[in-house]
This record gives sequence, C-alpha cells and structure tokens, in this order.
Amino acid sequence: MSKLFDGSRRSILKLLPVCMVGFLVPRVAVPGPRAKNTLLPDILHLALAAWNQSEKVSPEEYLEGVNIHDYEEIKVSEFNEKQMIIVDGFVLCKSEVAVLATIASRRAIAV
Amino acid sequence: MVVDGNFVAANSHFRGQICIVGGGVAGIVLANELQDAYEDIIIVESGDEHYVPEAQELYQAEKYPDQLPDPMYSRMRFLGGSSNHWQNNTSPLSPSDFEKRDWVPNSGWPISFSDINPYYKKAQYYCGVGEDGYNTKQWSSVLNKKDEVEESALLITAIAKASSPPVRFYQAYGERLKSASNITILTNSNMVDIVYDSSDKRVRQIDIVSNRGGNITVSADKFVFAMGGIENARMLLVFNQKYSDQLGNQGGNVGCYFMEHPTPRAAQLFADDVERLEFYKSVQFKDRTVVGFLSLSEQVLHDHQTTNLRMPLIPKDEYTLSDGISSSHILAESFARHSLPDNFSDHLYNIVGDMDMVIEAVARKTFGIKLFEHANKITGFQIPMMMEQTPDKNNRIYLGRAKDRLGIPKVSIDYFVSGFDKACVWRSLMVVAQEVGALSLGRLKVLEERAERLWSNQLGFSDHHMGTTRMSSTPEYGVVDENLKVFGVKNLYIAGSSVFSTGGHVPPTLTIAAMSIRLAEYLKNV
Repeated sequence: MSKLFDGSRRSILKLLPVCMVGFLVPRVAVPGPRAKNTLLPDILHLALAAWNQSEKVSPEEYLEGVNIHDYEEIKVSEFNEKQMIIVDGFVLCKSEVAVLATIASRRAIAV
Repeated sequence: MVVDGNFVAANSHFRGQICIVGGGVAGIVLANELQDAYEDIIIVESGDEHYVPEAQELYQAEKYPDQLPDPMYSRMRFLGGSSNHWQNNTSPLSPSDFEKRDWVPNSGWPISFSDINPYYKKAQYYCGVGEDGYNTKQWSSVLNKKDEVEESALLITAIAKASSPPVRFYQAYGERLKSASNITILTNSNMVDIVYDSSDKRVRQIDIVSNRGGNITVSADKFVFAMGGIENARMLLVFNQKYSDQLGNQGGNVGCYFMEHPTPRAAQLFADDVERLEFYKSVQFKDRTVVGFLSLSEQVLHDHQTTNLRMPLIPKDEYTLSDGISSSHILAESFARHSLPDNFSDHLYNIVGDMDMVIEAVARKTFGIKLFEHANKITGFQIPMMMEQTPDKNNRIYLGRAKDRLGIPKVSIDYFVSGFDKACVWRSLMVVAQEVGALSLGRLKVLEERAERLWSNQLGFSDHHMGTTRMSSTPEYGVVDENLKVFGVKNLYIAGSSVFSTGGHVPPTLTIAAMSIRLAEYLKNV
C-alpha cells in the first residue's frame, strides 16, 4: 500500500489542489496578503510581503550593496547583528529574505 | 521491616525518633541517608509496595484545569512514588535559578547553587545515572562529539543523563530499608490528622487511617512531610484549618506558587548539516543514556530579561513537521466554532501545499494505513522545550468542598501559563534563531502563528509539581526556611519539589534527591 502512490502521482496530487485554490482563493477566501499573485510559490510571496513590511529599500537595492562573494560571511554577520526577518515562521537573515523577495518581485512582473 | 497498616491491631501506636510521611523519592532518599544516624525511623506510606487502586484514588482532584494532566494519574501513590513512572531524565539546576532575578517575579531562593551543588554527586547515584557529572566539555570528549555552540556567548549545550532502564526508587533502595532493624515502613497508612502543641510549637503525633479503616497513631521527635508537590500542600492546608495557620501558613502561602514545566512545541530546527548536531542525539553510555540539549547562556537571560528553556532536538519526519496537518486541525477547530481563523488563507495554503501529508493523516487516522514513504523521512528537528514557569501566587492548590473516602477535602487547582512566561518563550526563541543562524547550524522556525493551539490543547506538561510549600527567608513569602523547616513549627520539615522557590527548566528529581540528602545532613545535627 505504501507504494501505491509513486512520485508522479504525488506531483499531480499536489498540483491539482494548488491550481484549484489558486483559482478559488482570490474569489472566496478572506483577502490576505497573498490574495494577489497567487501563482507565485508561497514562500517567495511571503518573503516579498515580509520584506516590504519591514524594509524601506527594495530587495534588489539591498542586494546591490551585498558582495555576493562574501555571501556566507554576510549571512553570519547579519545574524550576529540581529538583522533578521521572519518569513512564515522561519527566522532568516536579511540577505536571504532579500534574495527570495527579489525572485518573487521579478516573477510577479513576469506573471 | 514492612508493617502493613491494614493488618495492624486497632488503635496501635508507633513511636520513632523521626517519622517520614511519604515513601517516594524524597522519603526513600531521606530514610537511606538517616539510617545510620537515627535509632528509630518510621516511614508512613499511603500505598503498598505495589500499586493499589484504593490508595491511588485518594489522589483524585475535585477541580483542575482541562489542559493540566489529571492529578489522579500524573503521580503515583505507592512506595517509590512517582519514580514508578518517571522517564528518569536528570540535570542539575543552574546557579542563576537560585538567584533573585529582577525581571522574574518572585524569583530567588534563600540558598545558593553552592549550597546544593555538593549534594548533586550523591543524588546522581540515587538516580542511577553514575556520579560523573554534567560537564559539557567532559562529555563532549568522552562521547567524541563536538559541541557546536562551545564558543557561543548566547547558547550552551547542557547535559541530561538517564538510567536505562529508569530507576524505581523502592525497587532500587527498598531492600536496604526493609532489612534495616531501625526502620519501620508502615504501608497502606494514610495520615489524616496531626496533634500540634501550640504552646511548644511542636507536632506531637500524627493520626493515621489504614486503607481498611483501622486507626493508628505515630509519635516522633521530628516529622518530615515528603508526600509530593501537591499532597504536601494539601495536607498542610488541612492542618492549618485546624490550627489557625500556625503551620507555615502565616503569610497565606501554603498551596500558592504552584509550578509545572509546560512543554510547548514552539519551534522546529531545520539543519544545514544534521551531522553537526550529533551531540544532541541520545547515546547509550554504559548503563545509561546521555544527551545534549540547548539552553540559553546566563548572559542572555540577563540581557534579554527572559527565562530559560531546555531544548532537546528530536529528529522528526515530514509527517510530524507538516504545516498542512497543523493547519487542518486549526481550521477544523474554527469550523466547529462556526468561525474562521484570522489567517484563514495562510492555513488554506498550508493544507494545499502539504496536501499529501494531509491525505496521509486522513489515511492513518481513518483507515489505519500509511500511503507515502517519504512521510517517514527525517526532515528536521522538533523542539519540545521545557520552559521555566514564573512563580505566581494565583497558581495554587487549595481545598475543595468534596472529600475523599477518608474525609479529607479533595484538592482543587488554579493554574495558567502567564502572558509574561509566553512572551519569554518567544523572546528566548529569537535569540536561539539568531545564534543557530550565525553558527550556520540551520534555521529556526518559530511557530508563533500556532500560538493559540500551542498554549492550549497542544501544550504538554511534565508532571513536575513544584513550589506549593516554597522555601523562603521569611514566612511572609514562603512556607519553609532554608533548612526546610516549616515556619512556626520546631520539628516539622518538608522534602520534595514543593519546596522549590523556582522550578528551573530541567526535571526536578535530581534536585529533589540532592535536597533530601542536604536535609538529612541537617537533621543529623539538630
């Protein structure tokens, strides 16, 4: 029984309700921060919302000031300096959220 | 020897130098320690050498909060007491637990860590966990596991040890007591009254009713109540009704400041490299298990004005950590109340995004079958943290109206976890999140959005009953003094976790044993 559902069936299982809710939620659910751009992956959208709520500069602008070659060090230093943002309960450093939020904002434009 | 109170002749009288009421962890340790110092020791135990329902049912409470485990089953009323069902996790309290912390209301013991520390070594022996201490550096070396937070100023790795299998105190130490010529263990014997000499401020005698209704009396020079964190307060309240609050209740503190160790599963850790967290995996070492757990440093407690957490890291699979399952419970509960939760769409997304796990849950619960193999894959760590609870006078044991079959009022309990304590947990977790990120150990998921359920029907407890006859410098703030002598009474002492002024964030049994050894040392010299 445990092998009843293989990987592909599982993907379909996940995809179907996502599409359904993506269609329904903006219409029937309580409008929340994710009522728009529902086709975006959830965590990205939440990161963008969390970024916009706590920061004045855009995530792209913030990342421009980050030396990507020192990314690991930057993350450590941001945690040490308590530069953290909570996304869906995950406590992430600012540059991590900036990356996610940047992807979200670019995909939103693409959508 | 063991004398079964059920078969003692009516109106029998026993006389001892010291009478210990209660044959649980505190009573057994105390009797063992006093064996060579006293000529006649009497232990009075309500239960038998084994479980007897008629004794256990005397623990039935009249009223207690729904969320708290039933006091009739969260403790055991026969020789060995609650060690008959404990998990045997031991760790010592921290030095700061004993200190007055300005930001923690009612904190501070009248003794310091250095007063109790010398007794922890022998307490380890009683708990069956070896006498090799809890030094993190030492255990890191012995177990050859790296302490990944060794250099951290914010986090520490503390050590827990447990004997395997758990030590049942009467099984382990009962034979020595039974064979001792100067010790009488009176079983099936329930203390129901005392004779207190107000002029001399001494307890002269206790009155006992056996489980079959026979009357027995015991007189002694000294008495020690060692009946457990709830029962010590209950019986002292009964006797204070009769003797106008002269027995430690001058400040109205008997029964107050009841503390537990709530265990909210308020965070999850998703590790960058699981191998780095090996120190937090329980390992068998000789005849015991040793495991590291995360705690906050004393500096953090001070700087962030918060309380400490015992944070074991328990590997969990995708099913257990599923947000979708959690959200489906929240929605179901809201629908049952004909309402929607505030973040309805978030929960809906969780369910949709985690639909396979939701289906898995339905399959498991409804049909008893498992569908997805990946549901069992370890994906992170649950942190069933044990939190320190601030002593609060409104958390209390008091006497109800209903009476048990012996005519003693049943216990009622008022209990809540304060907003201050909850805020401390969230504050502490943000420090943990910061440091695990800075150390690249992983990322912490703080489950504050599940707060309503975490603090209600999902909140676990540890069956650690503490604080109801707390230790204090003066009767204004407590019930017993630094030597565990009841205020206002010359010859009555209390042993057990009911004397804890604060509860710390670790299981209490090791400290109960250490405090009992300390009390024995004191009683040898007075």
